[in-house]
Amino acid sequence: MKLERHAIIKGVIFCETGLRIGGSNDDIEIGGNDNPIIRNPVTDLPYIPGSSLKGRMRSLLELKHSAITQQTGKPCDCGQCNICKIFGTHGTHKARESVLGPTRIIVRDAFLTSESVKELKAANQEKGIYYTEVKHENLVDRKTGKAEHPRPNERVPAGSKFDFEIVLRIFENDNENAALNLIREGLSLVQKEYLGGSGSRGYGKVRFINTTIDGVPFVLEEGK
Amino acid sequence: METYRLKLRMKSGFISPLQADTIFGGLCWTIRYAEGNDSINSMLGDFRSDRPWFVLSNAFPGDLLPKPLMKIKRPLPATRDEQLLQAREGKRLKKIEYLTPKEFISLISGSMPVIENREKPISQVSTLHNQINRISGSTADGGQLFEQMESYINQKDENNQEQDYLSIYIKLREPGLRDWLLDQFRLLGQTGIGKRKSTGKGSFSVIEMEKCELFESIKEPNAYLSLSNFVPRQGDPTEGYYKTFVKYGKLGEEYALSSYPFKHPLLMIRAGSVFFTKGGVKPFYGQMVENIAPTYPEVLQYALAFSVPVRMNGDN
Repeated sequence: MKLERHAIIKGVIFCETGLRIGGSNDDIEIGGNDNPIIRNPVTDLPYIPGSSLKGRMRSLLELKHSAITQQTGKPCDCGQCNICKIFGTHGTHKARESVLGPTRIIVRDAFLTSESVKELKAANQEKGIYYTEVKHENLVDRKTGKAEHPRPNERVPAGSKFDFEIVLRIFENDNENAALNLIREGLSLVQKEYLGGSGSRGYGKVRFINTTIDGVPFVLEEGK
Repeated sequence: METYRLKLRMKSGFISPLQADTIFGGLCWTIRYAEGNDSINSMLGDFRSDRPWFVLSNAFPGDLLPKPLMKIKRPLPATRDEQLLQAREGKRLKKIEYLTPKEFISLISGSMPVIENREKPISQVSTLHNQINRISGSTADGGQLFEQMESYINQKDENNQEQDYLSIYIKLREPGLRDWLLDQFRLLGQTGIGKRKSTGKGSFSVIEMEKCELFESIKEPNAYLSLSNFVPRQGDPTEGYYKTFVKYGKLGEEYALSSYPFKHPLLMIRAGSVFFTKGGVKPFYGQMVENIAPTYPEVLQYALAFSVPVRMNGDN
């Protein structure tokens, strides 16, 4: 196989609503949040892991195009379709039978834009929120109407922006247009649905703005 | 051979430790994909016949270098208090993994510098990942939860300035190879090194590759230190101070999808090990290990030692 080139798709993920990608908390603190989001361990700033964006694109594409997924709800492991080729064949056994070659897509971690870091830092000083907001939720007893099980959820506030980058490796004999259309469709589906957790109650509505491919505008949907 | 230092800025965390053989493996795939089989075969042919185009060190955080495995002669303690102090100092030094260039050079020149405590330059964090059920959208009913250990550089210099880069030391057979190798590293950075490349782990950008004369000040060396993990070849020095470990290697890219993607376990000597030499220090020691992967007999394992001259005051 010969690598023709890397196509680099860049842009900004704009959070139209609060975004929550769960992390883990090793420390138990009195009064601390036990539903934290994922943060960069060095800078302590929130970020969107590449695995979250890639996984979300893949799962939505599979639900739309893969008969295996539509029946079982599991990742497609046919080892033949374009999703398996671009996102990597799922499942060790099928991957080894497949002749599709290496995974074509690389979705990098998306970090807060410098503008967003500045804004959230100011919010931190003025309102005391640490680059995130805490949203309290509860469950209402249907008979009494009383709130039960209160829980705080940490999330990145609406309006935050993250720089994202997707690299597509194009080998000789690959159909570049088909691959780019699949990525375009994947990103559009994420826009229509959500990123991260709790999407059915409004979290994670995102928009990909200023998207480019190798510096040239990369339009996700016609007319937008 | 001329020595260069390559500085890399990681674009996110990395999972596989960036050891010389892992970096070499990544480079081989880059060269094969970019230039074809003939180019990689010609390069590996020269590596096989003991004429390597380049010798790589492991990647080290910021400007730091590995703590040499050396025996330092210290005066015998005269009192119980002195004995206790020396024991405490030994215990403190044992925990230190990396040294600053100043401490490193002073130590390999035969003197005993004051080595300060410092925070671990690489922080490891565990992250949890889910595989969601595509229909229900939740991790329950067929979804899976798994853990991944990721490493991040967390290194500051003496002036508390962040050193958010990795350094790889490279010896080149010919200076003309510099630009070619730099291009290969740039291409490799687009893809990434090690596990979970497709989610951005191990990807980097190249900051610079400049000549490095750090190791040229050692006068009358009588030993060498390796900046890479390696396997000695017949005839290499055997007396010295070293630590071994077993490497369980794995094939990369499309070979990783074969029926058996593993390499044979390989006993290697750790970076930082020191061996006495008789006469001068060669630019590299060690060998390329053949027949390491049962499925692909043509695969070579990089196990050369990036040698740094050392003046040892201990027994020779």
